[in-house]
Amino acid sequence: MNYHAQLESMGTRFDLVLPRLGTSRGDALLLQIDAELQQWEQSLSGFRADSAVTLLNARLARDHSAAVDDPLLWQALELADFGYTLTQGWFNIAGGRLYAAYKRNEAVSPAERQAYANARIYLDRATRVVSTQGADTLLDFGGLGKGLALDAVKDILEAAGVRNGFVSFGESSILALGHHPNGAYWSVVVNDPLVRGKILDTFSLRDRFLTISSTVANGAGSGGLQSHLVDPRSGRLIDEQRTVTTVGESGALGEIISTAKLVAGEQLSVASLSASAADSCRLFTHNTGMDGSYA
Amino acid sequence: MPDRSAFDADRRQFIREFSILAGLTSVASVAPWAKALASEDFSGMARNGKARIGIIGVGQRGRALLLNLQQVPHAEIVAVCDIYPPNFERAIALTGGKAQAFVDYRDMLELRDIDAVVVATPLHQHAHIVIDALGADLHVFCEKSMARSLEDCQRMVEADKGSKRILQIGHQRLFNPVYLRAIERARSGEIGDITQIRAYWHRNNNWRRPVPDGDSRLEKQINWRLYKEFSAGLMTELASHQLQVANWFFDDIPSRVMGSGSISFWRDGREVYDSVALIYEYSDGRKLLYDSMINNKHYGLEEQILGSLGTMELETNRIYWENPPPAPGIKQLVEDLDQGVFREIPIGGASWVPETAVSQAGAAIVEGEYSDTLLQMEAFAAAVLNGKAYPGLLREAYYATIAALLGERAMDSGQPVAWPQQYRMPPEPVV
Repeated sequence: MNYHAQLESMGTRFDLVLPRLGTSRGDALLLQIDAELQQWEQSLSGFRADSAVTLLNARLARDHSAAVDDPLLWQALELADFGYTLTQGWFNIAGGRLYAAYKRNEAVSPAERQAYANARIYLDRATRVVSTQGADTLLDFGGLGKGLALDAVKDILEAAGVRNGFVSFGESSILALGHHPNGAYWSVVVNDPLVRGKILDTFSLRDRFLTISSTVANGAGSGGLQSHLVDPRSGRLIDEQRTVTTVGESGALGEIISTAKLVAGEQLSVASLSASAADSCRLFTHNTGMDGSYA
Repeated sequence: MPDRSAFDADRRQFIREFSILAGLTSVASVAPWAKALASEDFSGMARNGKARIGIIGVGQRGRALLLNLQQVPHAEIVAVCDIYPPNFERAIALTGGKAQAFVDYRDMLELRDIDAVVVATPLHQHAHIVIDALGADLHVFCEKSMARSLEDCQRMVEADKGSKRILQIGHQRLFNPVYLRAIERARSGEIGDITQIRAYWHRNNNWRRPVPDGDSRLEKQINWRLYKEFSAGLMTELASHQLQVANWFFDDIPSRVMGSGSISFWRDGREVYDSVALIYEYSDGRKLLYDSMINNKHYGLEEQILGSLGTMELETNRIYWENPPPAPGIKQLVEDLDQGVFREIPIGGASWVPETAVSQAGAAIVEGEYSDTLLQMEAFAAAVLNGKAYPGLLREAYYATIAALLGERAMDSGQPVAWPQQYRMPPEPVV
């Protein structure tokens, strides 16, 4: 008996696969996990009019400073601030306004790009107040919310005594808990998003998170960009076809490193960061054929 | 000059969609006109002559049909007619003075060099003009709804049967690849059992058109939609489109209808309801829930096809699944676990989208955008040249108008109204 269930959460699909687990126990865990995911979504979703981050953005737009009551939002802000320092500014959640402008195909002036380059958040941990630099700052956590939620899912599973499981968040954030019941690990291959049948990367995962980030659009050979990722240092749009795979002990940290590497490219050496940041981080640049550039 | 590239792009996409649809046996029964259209080659049709068409009624909708017809290579507008001077003058200007202009449609019907007419007058005039035109041996395209009364709808169908000419009614969704693809997918069982359809059309305006100098003698001529003598209001001017869609997706006509209508906001002397809510009952307990209002536009218009496995929203071209299919890699993993197999879990692939995958925004039923009114007029002109109506179209239009008028009757009486047996059409053979 193996358990599999799927949810829609945070704008994507969430798959929970738990080997050798019965339906009743699996369903009970799923309920607990669903409640956890909903809490994260309510805290961090920029698409919800009443989410904690939406309300925070409204206050920051007016006052450039606001107290944060929501504990999950504060946790995310602390981690984002840590990520900013860890990646030397390559991971920056303060550029949502520019991201949104690119997404709407609006013209972005050099001054606006520069404003983003200077934008960042500042945290006063004693008073739990966040302040921003620059009048036009909009916080966008991107995939960080999924990473944080996946870390919480791992805690739920471990607390319930679940040793083995495979959890996928939109196939871009993956928790490989324990090992496959017929193997010593979970074997994962990441296919090339542009070339059918070509394997981009392979992994033997045991108690690890795999994060996959890409700028590549849907459809073989379409050549388009899936998302409007922005270089936080220059405010320019990343117009290169890139995919990054990151493996580590934390889903949230994996999101930070993966996103930073995706926008920084060769300018960021992940190997030079804290030793515990990631087991591996690989950048694949599709339109030049370069790959495997472990930084 | 009309924009040929836009027309050609539409046409190419249209043919592509239709050729796919035409290959499906299910389409023959749900959209027999589509199958017939797919076998047409319109590209060289104009070389063998053009359909010579007159337009009767060149108000707001008539003008739109005129502009669309001007883009059809195998159609030529040879005459225009309107009794309202501003529309009359505008029609002459729009056709560059090349079309003969009439105030009385009966004079137009006597023209010798004309093949067909387009009727876009106020609703109460449809029946007698259409019957006169068919009697004059002309093909007719009539804007929806068919007629103001049940009896007139029936008279129009009988007049069509008694003639050797075409009667086509303007329901452009029947030519829209989104709707055609959606009904094909619904019939394949993709969204499961459909037991309920919800449809609505909401606007926020008084539905009035300006009367020059406040001349009260022109009020009913211009604002005919507001008076029961001329129109059933929201039911015939808006709802009939969506009633056609519901009948089509249920592959049935309602057994009865109940409803409530009121003038609850625009209390300005109008006679037709500004707010309607109805339930149409179909066989096996299936229902259409319908409402329309004109003092709130937040929800706009939509037809929601509610199945046990999924939902389609046709106006916005979306399909949603109750249980999204798992990613192929996850599906394989689950199967492997069940069989005790240990192998690689494939993540991604050539069509893989990191980060987005399945979102709550659903998916498009069909990619692309279409001008269904343009395609509808192109088809009519082709039917005129071929001298052959596309099968199934008149039935859809007839049942849509009957449903709209029965809904009005239910609201007026405050009682459920059953579908009278005499307003059923005999089945058409599948082409």
